[in-house]
Amino acid sequence: MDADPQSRRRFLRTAGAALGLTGMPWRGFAGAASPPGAVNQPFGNGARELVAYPQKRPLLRITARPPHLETPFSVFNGGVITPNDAFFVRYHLANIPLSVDLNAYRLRIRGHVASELSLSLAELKGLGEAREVVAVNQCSGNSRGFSNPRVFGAQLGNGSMGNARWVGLPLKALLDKAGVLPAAKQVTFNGLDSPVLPSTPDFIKALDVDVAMQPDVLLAWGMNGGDIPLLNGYPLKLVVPGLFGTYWVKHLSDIEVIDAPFSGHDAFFMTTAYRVPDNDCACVAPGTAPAKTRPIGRLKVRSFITSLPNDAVVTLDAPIVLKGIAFDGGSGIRSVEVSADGGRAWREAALAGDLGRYSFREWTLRFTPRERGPMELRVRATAASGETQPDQATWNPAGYARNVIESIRVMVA
Amino acid sequence: MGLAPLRLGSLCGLCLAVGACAVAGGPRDIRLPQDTAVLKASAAPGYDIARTKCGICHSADYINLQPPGMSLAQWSAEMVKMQRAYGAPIDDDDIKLLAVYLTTEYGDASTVAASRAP
Repeated sequence: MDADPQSRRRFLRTAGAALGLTGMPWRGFAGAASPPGAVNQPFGNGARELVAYPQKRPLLRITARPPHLETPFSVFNGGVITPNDAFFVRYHLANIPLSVDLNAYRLRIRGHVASELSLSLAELKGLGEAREVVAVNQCSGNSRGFSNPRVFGAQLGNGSMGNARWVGLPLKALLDKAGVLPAAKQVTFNGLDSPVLPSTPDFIKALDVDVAMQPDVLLAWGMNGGDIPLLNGYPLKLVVPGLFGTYWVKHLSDIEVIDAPFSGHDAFFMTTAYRVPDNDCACVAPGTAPAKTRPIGRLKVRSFITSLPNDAVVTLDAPIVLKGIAFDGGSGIRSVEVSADGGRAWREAALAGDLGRYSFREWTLRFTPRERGPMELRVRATAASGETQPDQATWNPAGYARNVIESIRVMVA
Repeated sequence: MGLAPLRLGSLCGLCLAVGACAVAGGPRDIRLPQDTAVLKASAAPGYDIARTKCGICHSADYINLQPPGMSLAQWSAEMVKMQRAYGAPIDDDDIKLLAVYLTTEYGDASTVAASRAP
């Protein structure tokens, strides 16, 4: 990195103009080691096939049934909006809808409401004014494969996240139309997917009424100007900006307002799964069990370098523009800093256009490598809330909510 | 009007290209790629149980992609989770055999040997 103290000011003036001047083209995670149509994640047993699913470009296949697909990380260097055909896919139950007929589709709301409703998509759209929110949907287990010690579950790299422009009716408009009764405590959400066996819990999520009433929570039918791809929840997806993807129920078909905390066999994905240690870091000593847990909630602040893959080679004394993304659980990104010496000195990156506090925020930093040899680049973001990223990875038994400061190794030659 | 059939035709071309078909207001259908994952073959009795039971609810890659080096105790706990939390139709004897097979083929086989030591 430039030793010249003047260079930072120069960078801040010129970074925006220098976009596109990246050091080298993206070569994929594994460089020359991976065959065409495959990616090697940088952890044990990390070989992944690239497979094209309906309405999708080739994505990393995690599992076939139910389908679970991860976005190749290079996609995140293409812009802060993740294209629909590149957006990750995650299901829990193998009976997924392979056909949805809008003539037959209905969204039902029932339970502790003044009037139960059953609405076609067109009727739902007629209930009020549509709202648009740009928001990150990140899988709770994104980056689980990096847990140390490793944990069971979907062995994800960093690509189980995406940022899209969602359009839909605020959930509040539907709740108001149905008339939430005073005793209501939570609202539950179920979709068209279902378990193979009746002994397996259905995938149903719950939000407290005050969370469900937030104006940015959407019943979304639009994604980046088109319909939501079937594998992402067509025709209607619950969008809960700032919360982990587990709450973003796909193929949403049934909403129930309840007067007690959600419980019972089909509350499994609230009461047993998708829970984190109930403390500030949502973490425990590696390999130990938490004494108390709570449902996973808001996204933690994260940032990534997207313009260079691990093990990239950059040219000595040639200026390059580092680029990446940052996001948090809804306060917005205050700053992004980059270190080129393994975390001793940090320089502030420039933040690009703001698509809202739930969106990926692009950052750029121009710098010139001045020393030949290996270099470790790190990036850390600070949210408007003051939250920042830890130096050391935290650990929890399910491998949720990883947000350690990311680093990549590059070679200056 | 000659436009309507033309538009329908081009829509279907698009549908074929992306593997999904949609006509406004009508059904949207997709067909998924073939599931090709298979479990690691073994003479252990747990292999046959795995082939007949695990695949009821999920493809073999759920197992194939798990981290290397998991112990017999860890695989056993995972089978208990499948039984109790996910309602897998496996009994306690199945769990023991499944855990031995999975640990031997996918995990730290030395923990299986250690469990048999006198």
